[in-house]
Amino acid sequence: MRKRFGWTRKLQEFPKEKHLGGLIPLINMPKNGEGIVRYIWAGRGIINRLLGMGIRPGAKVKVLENSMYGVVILINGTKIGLCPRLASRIYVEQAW
Amino acid sequence: MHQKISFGLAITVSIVFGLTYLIIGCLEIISAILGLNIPLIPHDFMGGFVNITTATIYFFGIKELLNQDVRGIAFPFFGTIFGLGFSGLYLLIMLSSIATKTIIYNERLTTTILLEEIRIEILLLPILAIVLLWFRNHILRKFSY
Amino acid sequence: MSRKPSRKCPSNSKFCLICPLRFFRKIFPAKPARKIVIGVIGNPNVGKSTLFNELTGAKQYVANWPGKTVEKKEGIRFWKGCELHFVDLPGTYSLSASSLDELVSQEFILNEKPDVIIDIVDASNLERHLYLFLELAEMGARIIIALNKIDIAKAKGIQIDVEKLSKLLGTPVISTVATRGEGISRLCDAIVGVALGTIKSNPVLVKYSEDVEEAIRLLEEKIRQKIEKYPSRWIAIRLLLKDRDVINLVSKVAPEIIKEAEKLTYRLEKKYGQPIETIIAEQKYRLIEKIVSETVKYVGHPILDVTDLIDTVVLNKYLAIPIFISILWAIFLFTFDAATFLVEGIDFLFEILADFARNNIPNELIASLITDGIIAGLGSVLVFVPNIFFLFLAVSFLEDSGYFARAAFIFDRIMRKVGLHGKSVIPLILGLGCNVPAVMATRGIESEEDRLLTIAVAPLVPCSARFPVFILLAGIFFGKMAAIVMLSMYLLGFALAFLIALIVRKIFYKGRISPFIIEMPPYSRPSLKSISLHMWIRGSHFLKKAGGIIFLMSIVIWFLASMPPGVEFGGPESYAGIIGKSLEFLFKPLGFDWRIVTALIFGFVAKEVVIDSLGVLLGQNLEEVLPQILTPISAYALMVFVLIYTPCIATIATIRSETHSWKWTLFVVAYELILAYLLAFLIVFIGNLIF
Repeated sequence: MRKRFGWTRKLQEFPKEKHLGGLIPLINMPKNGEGIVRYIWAGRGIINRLLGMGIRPGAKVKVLENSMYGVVILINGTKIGLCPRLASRIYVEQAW
Repeated sequence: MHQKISFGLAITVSIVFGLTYLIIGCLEIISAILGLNIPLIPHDFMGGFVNITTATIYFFGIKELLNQDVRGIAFPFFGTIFGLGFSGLYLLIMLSSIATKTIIYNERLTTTILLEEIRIEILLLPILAIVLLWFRNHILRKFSY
Repeated sequence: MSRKPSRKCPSNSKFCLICPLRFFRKIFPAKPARKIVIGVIGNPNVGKSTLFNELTGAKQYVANWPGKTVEKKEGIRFWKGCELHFVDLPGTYSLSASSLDELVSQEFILNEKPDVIIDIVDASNLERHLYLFLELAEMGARIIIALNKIDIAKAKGIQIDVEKLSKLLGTPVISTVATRGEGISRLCDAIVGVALGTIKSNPVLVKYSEDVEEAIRLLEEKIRQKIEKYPSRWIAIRLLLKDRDVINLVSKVAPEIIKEAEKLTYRLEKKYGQPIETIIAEQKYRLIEKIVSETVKYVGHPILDVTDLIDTVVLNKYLAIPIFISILWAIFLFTFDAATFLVEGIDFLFEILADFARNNIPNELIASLITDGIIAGLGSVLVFVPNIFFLFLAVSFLEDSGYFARAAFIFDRIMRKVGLHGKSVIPLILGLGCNVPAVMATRGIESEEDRLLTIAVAPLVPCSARFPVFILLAGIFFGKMAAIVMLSMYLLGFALAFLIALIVRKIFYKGRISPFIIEMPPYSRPSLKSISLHMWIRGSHFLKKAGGIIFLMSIVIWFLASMPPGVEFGGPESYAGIIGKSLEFLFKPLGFDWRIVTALIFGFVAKEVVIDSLGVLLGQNLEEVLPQILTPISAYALMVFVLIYTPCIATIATIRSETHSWKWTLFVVAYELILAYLLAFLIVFIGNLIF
């Protein structure tokens, strides 16, 4: 049994345009901003990893740091660091 | 929850320590490049870099504290831990060198040897320790429930 | 070793007859204790290792999962007449993301069917940890929850109604504080209870929304008829989730079920507008939220805690990198300068030993074997043992404190540009001390590709063993410029590591890089106990590997240098000399004569040996002799050659055991040799043109 890990999937199956009304990617969120995750645009492997760590639609997220190194978020009681690319694929509904 | 910390005191501490580390750091780098012999300042380029970093940490905090932002306290707090860590490390190295010279090479423990090995950051150790204790007792308590 | 040590008898010999009890038992064997197999699983950073150590004491042994490169840790404890056999499963966030770790755990749970699974859960962060629990429940495991870190939860003002939690989850919940060893006996009682059936463990199963449940039911009916080995509900859910391995399994028996599952999944995805994984996970989390809201109460809520304060500084845009460099420098200082006392001490002791041996052993040959062979060889290894242990101590401290996660995060951006992972930064830094722990440290990298790549370039980082070679040659040939030459070696090492990583990434992996995501655990002051334990484990592992090999090779080198009998030690007539002379022609264009070549061959064992061999072959006055046989350009080329050419034997052995592949190991050895030669040649060529 061999399993592989990678950005593999037909992303066209779930066009992001369909979901984007009013949502912004995590990487555009300001520091200390809060919101709710609504949609993750990524392949199966990544999605499963994110889901396991608590990054899933419906979860409340707070952005702690947002710099050139990436984004650090507080979600589900956990502090997680994400690379900018990943952060640009997680769509969040901003809450004030 | 209302936190009251004396910003003034924190800013003063930051300025004092920041300048101290800046001066020491610059002296260490200059003495490393030019080969000057200053008492208590070793020829240590990287050591100077570390001290300047510590100074920068303190200085960054001043800006945040001036804006009355409670988060600014993180900078002198961490700066003190950082400085303390290195002072402790230098102390350890000094003890190791002294032990090597006296026990293994059987030289006698004289003040010359002590003066050779000592560096200024070690002298800062007690002051930093006191500042850190002050932080724990007065600042961190305020962040609990 | 043919017997596992137990609590009552530490002997590991099958035929030990030392104590009367063993002897008695050989004649009148006792009734075999009931053996209970327990899998220990949990999220990373939850304290699994600590708890595992508490449960098994020092009675653990490490192996590899058959056919995989993941380490398998097992341990035993005797409790109330039963033999508790613990198996440490790799720490994962879930059992569905298809990494090697998860595969190993999944196979273990389904195929070996342990009696009990202990799911370690962080009391201060229940919401995230229950996800794994729900997945385990669906696999049909009998679970006991170890609610660890309740001390931290209490300090954070979190109160958990343990009884209610146990009722809602359907399994026993035991609070533990692994770092203090609290709750261990209650846990063992629960284990025995569940295994023997006196305590019930029926983990709650997630009830999904109607349409999902309908889909599961449809599939389950068909599956139940064809597959008995695994729980049918779990198979149904995995089929909906398009789990490739389950699909493979089912296609062998009933391929039509797969088509059915595809159709159902398609319908669900169309209806919800989300990928099926998200649909299922969301509903799991809904149950988790409900459970948590009923059992967890927040008595107080800190605005800022120490972790956030420290991170404000450490992750600061401008301060992050200077702080990292400072910490690196601190590790360096601690490893080398703070350990001088011990290093000099050991050196001194060995000199005394050597003198003693030389003066008191009558037979000259044996005296030589012992002083020049064994003592010299062992001495060269043991003299840097304090450095290695101090390095491991510093690294364990930083790792346990939680800083490395932040360092990996900060450097990910830079590492990405050269095709490496943020988590590769730690192994590369460790390589400065020794390449062996660097290779071992790559275990934290999830993606196999990234891990292999990091392992391939890690040996390019100049380790402490190459330091003496650099210092010697730089000092002799470059005088005032010595420091700059040394610096150039270190910079070259890293530059090449990045360059090779980039090239290999482009060629073999076609530029794909996996995304970076890391959990940043709260900073904690690592206990002296835990860092010394880590230091000891890593240090002794290293010693056994490296020490054993180097010791053996010292004898071999001594032999090659002294035989045939009567020759000058290390002279051109000895076997060593013959080997050197025969390869000399290869290295003539580089300006190396046969003695250098011989030293390099011996340096294959361990880079420190290069200096030793030169000393042996050329006599002690290297400062005078070397300039006679090397030009400064060739000296620089030699330094570069030593920097790059093949990892030392200890590293090669480690690479082989970490990658489980001779192919990759040989690849690393080969490319380094070729690269070393090419670069040295280039330097000599261009150097001669310029000067």
